[in-house]
Amino acid sequence: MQRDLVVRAQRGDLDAFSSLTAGTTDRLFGAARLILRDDEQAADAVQDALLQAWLDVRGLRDPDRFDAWLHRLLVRSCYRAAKRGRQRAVVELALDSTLEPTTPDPQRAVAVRDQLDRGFRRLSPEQRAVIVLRHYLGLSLAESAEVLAIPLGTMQSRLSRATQAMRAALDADERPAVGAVEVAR
Amino acid sequence: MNPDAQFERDLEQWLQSEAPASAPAGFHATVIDRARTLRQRPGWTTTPTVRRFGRGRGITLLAAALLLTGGALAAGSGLLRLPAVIPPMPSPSVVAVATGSPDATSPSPSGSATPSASPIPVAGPGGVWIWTGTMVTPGAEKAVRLLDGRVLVVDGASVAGDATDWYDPATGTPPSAKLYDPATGTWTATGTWTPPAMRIAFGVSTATLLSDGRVLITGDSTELYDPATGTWTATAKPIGEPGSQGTATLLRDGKVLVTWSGTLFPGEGTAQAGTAQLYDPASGTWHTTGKMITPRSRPVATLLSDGRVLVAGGDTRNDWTDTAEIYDPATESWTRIANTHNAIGPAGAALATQLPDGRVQVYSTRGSEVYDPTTGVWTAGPKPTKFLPHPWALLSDGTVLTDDPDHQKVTDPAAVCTAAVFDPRTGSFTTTPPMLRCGAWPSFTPLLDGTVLQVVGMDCNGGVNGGCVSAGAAELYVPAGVPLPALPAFPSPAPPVHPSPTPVPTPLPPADGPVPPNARRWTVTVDNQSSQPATMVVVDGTAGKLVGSATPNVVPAGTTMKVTFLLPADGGWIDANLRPGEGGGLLTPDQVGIPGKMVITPEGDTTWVGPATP
Repeated sequence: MQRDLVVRAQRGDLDAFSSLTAGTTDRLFGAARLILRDDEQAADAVQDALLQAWLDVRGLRDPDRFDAWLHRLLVRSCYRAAKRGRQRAVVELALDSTLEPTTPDPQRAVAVRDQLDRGFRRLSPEQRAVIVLRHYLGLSLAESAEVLAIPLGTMQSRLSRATQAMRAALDADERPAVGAVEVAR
Repeated sequence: MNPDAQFERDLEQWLQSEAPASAPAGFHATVIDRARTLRQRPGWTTTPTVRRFGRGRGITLLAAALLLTGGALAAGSGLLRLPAVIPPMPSPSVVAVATGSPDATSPSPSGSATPSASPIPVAGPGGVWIWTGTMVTPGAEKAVRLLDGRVLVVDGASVAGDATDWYDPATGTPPSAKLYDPATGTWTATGTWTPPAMRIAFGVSTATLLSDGRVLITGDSTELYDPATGTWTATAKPIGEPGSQGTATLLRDGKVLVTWSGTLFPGEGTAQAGTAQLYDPASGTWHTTGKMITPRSRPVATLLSDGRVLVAGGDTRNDWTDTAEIYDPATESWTRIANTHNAIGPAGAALATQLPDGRVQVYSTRGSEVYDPTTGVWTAGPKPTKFLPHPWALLSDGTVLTDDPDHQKVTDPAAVCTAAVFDPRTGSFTTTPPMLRCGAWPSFTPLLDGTVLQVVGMDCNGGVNGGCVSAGAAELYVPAGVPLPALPAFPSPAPPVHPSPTPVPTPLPPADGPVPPNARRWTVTVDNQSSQPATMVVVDGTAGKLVGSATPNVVPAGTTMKVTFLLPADGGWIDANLRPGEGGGLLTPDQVGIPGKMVITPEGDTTWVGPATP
């Protein structure tokens, strides 16, 4: 069914393209929002990716790879949007961490969420993309590698580095810190 | 649970909860509506039909291999970036009629007049397209008809490729300006301006004819053009960084009201959407003049007969809007008026014209309506039977020339590009004969003689480095019944040259050296039987970036040689460029290493000789 829609879209059928993408837009927006941490930029990136897909769908040789291709377009749109969004935000670090990672739920859940949020914000958009593909969109390592157009081994190492960076950020967050750090939004 | 697994589980739960459950309401519909305004780029077709290569063709190894059985030879192309066979040009629809006065504003209906001894040829039903002179420099972002009937065409600065949003004079293309003279059909360069370096290249956002005959442009730079002297003079910049999708309306007092798009969409500036500013040509200054009640991008804006400005429709964040408001220059304030019956698309997907009685006709995909400034009432009119795309030009009989709405439904839009004449009285479209040259982002400018100048801004067919290049073709549309201009016969302009990808550094080392761990090497025979050298490149099929290398990377005409390709491990596209930026074939990882050879025939067809893949 999806293949048929892709083929029809390649023949210029916008209705087919609409059907093809209607069900995935929410998920794409969610991924873009996670990568960019900004609603407006995310909307821009998704729109950019969808319009790019419509413009270039004829260049897609294998209709079965539409999803991966669309994800690739989205990630690239996110990179471009991040590049355009030159604003930088200043985030105050906690002066005295009160997080207790071993605290049972529900306090632990709240603390973990807070930690993850702050840790994730400190990742670069490229690092966020790796994590979002794998852990939000649920793509396999091979699928993620295809989306990012990188070899599987590179994907593995990037994911590992992104995860380590986030954990390092969390570890640092648990230590008392003073001052402000500039982070890329 | 070990810490790593716990971390991953926490992370996934957090990601799921952190991501919004859905895109904004109406978001997808808005994107689809915007897609409707875009013409798809031609590319690889999915049907592995045998097709003769035309310009911008290439090989599809997969398609070719599937077609072949042991040693058979077939023309293998599923790609068509330009028509394989240029459709025959229809004979111009011209009717010779007598007319005492070739007044373009009241054209003689074709065939309705009695021939005389000195017939004046007029365009027949459907009109006719004819070549006029080719622009002296390519690129056409905005076109403005001057008071004397000439047309100023400007093209803003552009960045190199798509690698950066920033204009760098060392690598980008500077702006250009040229004048078209309808009396001779020729073009002359008319100076240029210097855009500021290292800022986002917006190109030309607005171009407005001022009361004194000068032209104000905004965008990369803010400049005044004086046709009397042919000179450009920098004037004050608008306040802030307004973006690329503004509207500009000349007011009765000679000032210009500009509304800015703000940050609603990518690359459209950092000013807050809905900001409006006034430019005073007398003092050369800008000042903010209130903010629109409903921030919107690219609304339709029309000067009313009482001097106020009607602004309606456009893009808001989530959808096209049905809101409208009026700007009053006397008080420099905005007043909300009644909503339209249907949402009005953004400029480009909607248009507005003033009727002789002072009312304003607005056309959009979702309907046409008339606004009466004296009563403040919108009256719904006939809905267009098709989507109304841009560009558009109001013809002398009240109809509207637009790009052909059916392009989206044509299997190969590159093969034939037509326009259509929209009749707002009935909502119907009449297709014109094919344009002489297809191109992206053309503009239509009505001339004083009733014809319409079309200039093609970009050519997006072929080209592996970003795809589009500036184009210089220009042609005239002569509507039905309008006398053909007495111009010399201009030849068909040469197709634009796409940049050769070969000078771009390749990310992989020479193909005959050591094979990096992320690459694969494949040596095949390339038999170039054509009369032109073939440049061999390896590109990313999605982004068109060079991702591999070929050694040697040029196969001279009439030569057979082994070419070694170094491809990414996950595959790439092999392009055989008889001309720069043309040709191409997809190679997937499982096809690397299949035996056979590439043959470039004397006719320019690229074929694959070899067995089918497993």
